[in-house]
Amino acid sequence: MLKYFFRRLLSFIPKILIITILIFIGLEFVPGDPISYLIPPEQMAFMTEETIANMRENLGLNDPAYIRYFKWLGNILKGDMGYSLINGVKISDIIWTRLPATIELTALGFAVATILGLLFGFISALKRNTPIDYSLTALGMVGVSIPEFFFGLSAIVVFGLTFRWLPPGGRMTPGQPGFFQRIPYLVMPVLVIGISYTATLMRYTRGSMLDTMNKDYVKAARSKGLSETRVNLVHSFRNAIIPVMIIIVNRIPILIAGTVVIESVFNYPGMGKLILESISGSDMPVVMIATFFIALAVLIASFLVDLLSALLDPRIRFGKM
Amino acid sequence: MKKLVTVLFLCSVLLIPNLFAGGAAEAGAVKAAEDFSETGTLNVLWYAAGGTSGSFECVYRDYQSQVPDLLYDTLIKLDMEDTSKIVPRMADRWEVSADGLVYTFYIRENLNWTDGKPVTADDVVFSLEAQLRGYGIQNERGSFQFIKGAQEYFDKTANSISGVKAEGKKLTITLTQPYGFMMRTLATFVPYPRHLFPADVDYTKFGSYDYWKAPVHCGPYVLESVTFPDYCVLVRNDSWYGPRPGIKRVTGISFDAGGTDAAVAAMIAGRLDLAHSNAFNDVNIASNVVKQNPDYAYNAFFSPYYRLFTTNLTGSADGKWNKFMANADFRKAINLAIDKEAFASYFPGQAVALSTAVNPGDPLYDKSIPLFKRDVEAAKALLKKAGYDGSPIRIAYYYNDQMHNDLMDLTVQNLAEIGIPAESRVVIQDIYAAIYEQKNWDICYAGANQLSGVENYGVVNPGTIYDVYLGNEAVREELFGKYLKEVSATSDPARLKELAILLQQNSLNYGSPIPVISMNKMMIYNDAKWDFDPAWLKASDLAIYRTCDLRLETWKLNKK
Repeated sequence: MLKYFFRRLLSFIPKILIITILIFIGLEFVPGDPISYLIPPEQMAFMTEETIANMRENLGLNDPAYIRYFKWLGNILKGDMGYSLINGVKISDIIWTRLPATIELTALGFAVATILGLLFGFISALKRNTPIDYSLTALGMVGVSIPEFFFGLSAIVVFGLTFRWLPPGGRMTPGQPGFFQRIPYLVMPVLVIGISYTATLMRYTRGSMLDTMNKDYVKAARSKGLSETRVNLVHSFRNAIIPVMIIIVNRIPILIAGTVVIESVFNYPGMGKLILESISGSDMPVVMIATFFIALAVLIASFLVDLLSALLDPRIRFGKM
Repeated sequence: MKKLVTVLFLCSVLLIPNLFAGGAAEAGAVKAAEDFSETGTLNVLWYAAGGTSGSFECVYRDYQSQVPDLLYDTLIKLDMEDTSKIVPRMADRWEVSADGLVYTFYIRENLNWTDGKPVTADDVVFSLEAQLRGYGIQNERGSFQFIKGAQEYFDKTANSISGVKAEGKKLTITLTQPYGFMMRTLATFVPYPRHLFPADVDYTKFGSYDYWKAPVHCGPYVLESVTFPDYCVLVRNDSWYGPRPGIKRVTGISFDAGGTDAAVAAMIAGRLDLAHSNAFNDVNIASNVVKQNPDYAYNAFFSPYYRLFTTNLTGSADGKWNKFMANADFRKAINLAIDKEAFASYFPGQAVALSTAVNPGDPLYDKSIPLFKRDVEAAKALLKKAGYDGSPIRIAYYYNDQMHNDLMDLTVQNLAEIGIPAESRVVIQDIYAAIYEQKNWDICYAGANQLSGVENYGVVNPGTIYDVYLGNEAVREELFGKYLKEVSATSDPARLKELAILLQQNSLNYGSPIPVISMNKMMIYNDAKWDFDPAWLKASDLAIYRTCDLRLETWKLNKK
């Protein structure tokens, strides 16, 4: 198992390198010029050709693409993430102001959606073919089929603007940065980001539960006179959750990707929004690092899926599948 | 018994809200005596051009927010109602030599930075150097070219600006020629503390210094805390020399992540009290906020920002330049063919179609010139007079968004209507070379923001890179150049008006540049919560943005 763990861990290195190269090549094709973003064209009228050229040189924009890539990679290995082209701020400073916000949002979305998805799936299976089951299935369909941004905007209109129960956006009230003080700001984005995840998980849990409930060992447990609660929770749910665990972890990358839209809708200053801002400003060093972090998070999530799969199914780690 | 319990329950249900209501009324009575300006917070938009992540570049780049005005100070300010009057600020007195070439400022004796170190004239020198050599938004750089030795310092042929001298609290600025806008420029120019930057400061990386994480300043408010990228908290600087600001606490809230939509939602929810930024330059946005939350109001300020078509009279690198651009009648035909009202309609409530480069709301506008009306027939007649042969023209633009794509398509259609085939092309990559060097275009859609409407004619002012648009034709010097030199030199309002009229008349006759629209600026504010000097609403955008004394002592909060 340990050997399998390290083998998967080592596979990170080529994957990360390939991802960074692909991002870099992609960004090379993005139209735009950081100088034009840094200095409004009207202001350029008061500059000289030499000043513009010096500026390009200082920002390293005159080097060929492959040189810029290797310079960037070398600096990353030395722990230097570089500076934003747009505001001159250290990228590490930018990342540390944005990353916690995204981790918080994703982790809470993940936790809430997992709990709700498992709970609703469990109830739906137990109450199959009843109005509760039909209602939850219908809600699940709605959750899967309607895009998150629509839920987000609707929630803002209803709870933020009409009833004014919750703040329509942002991350905190000025001067109140504590976690519990920030909860009102987290309610809507966390629930919205978790909606589709909850619905998917609910459907899988329901299916897995129904499958397990028909197994012989469940029937045997029931015939031994065990209570329905014990049969359902210990014998059915515990076994039904094993394949669902893979789904739970497998959905993490999608959840992370979903933050890009949700952060924009809720004015939530996280990594996803940072990527959008940086792309629009041709701030390539920031795009590279931010995308790198997102890719790293996705890789870690995939790694967890692999590990979990190996733990649950020994055939995988021995390469038998 | 059951009935008794029911009656008691109903009574309690009916009475409890009344008890609370009584409590609320009592609390209300207490609150009536509360000074909300001391206990409440004014929430203003915190907008920084470079974003609000990890750095507080409130002056160096942030140019669309009230936050810098509250934190930083300037040598002087102008009076909001009469901009010819100067209000003393960091400098409590000054002298201007009779020839208008030497300005001497005396910085207040007890003026300190918020870290306790004294403010010196050397800090101003340092900040002038940063303006000339730094990268970013340097609105004042164009004016500072008139300082003796500034050009040499900018070109790196000198290590200091010879025309600027600091002796303790005394600052002397010597100009190469009289410049009428110098005091106005200094009213917006913000000095920083030299001692918080390294001795071998690299101005090309000026925005990267740690100073910007928690800047030290000397204005009417003190930066209490910053939580990047969300907000900054400002509290009244009780040791400030000026009149005591009315509101104790101001918070700058960033909407970088959610943009305009998020800020609008915050205003509708009553969580953002003041937004004064280009992002809100749309009367539909403003009226929507007011409709959804009647506590709010909005005001459009006339501003000297305008959009124009610059004209290439000299040729292009690829040799495809349309030679008719050298003909004034051809240029005038283009001017009359463009549907400027349609351009203005894309910026509802804030844009005005222009006849000249001066906004009709500007006192310098020549009122004898009628407001712009598109005239296709007159344009066709001018083309005929020019002997136009149907050769195509090329339009360049650099505002890369769908609205401008549409506007350029519209221009192509407008020109087609009078028989000029045209094609438009957005310039994204290496704008400097494309616009200013290669010039593979005949007309170029551009923006200009100057200190006054008359200065908009600076686009044809010899000595600037805009020369490339027009070449060095003697007629241009005769029509614009000599008058602009006088505009720069004069401080006499009457003469300035005469010069403004001459410039506008000549521009019409010369057909260049082709003004399109003037952009007013919108301010949306919580009218029920925030009180300020009503003179604000009559002032220009430039006045309430940095240039003028904001009369902070009049600011009051009516609500918490």
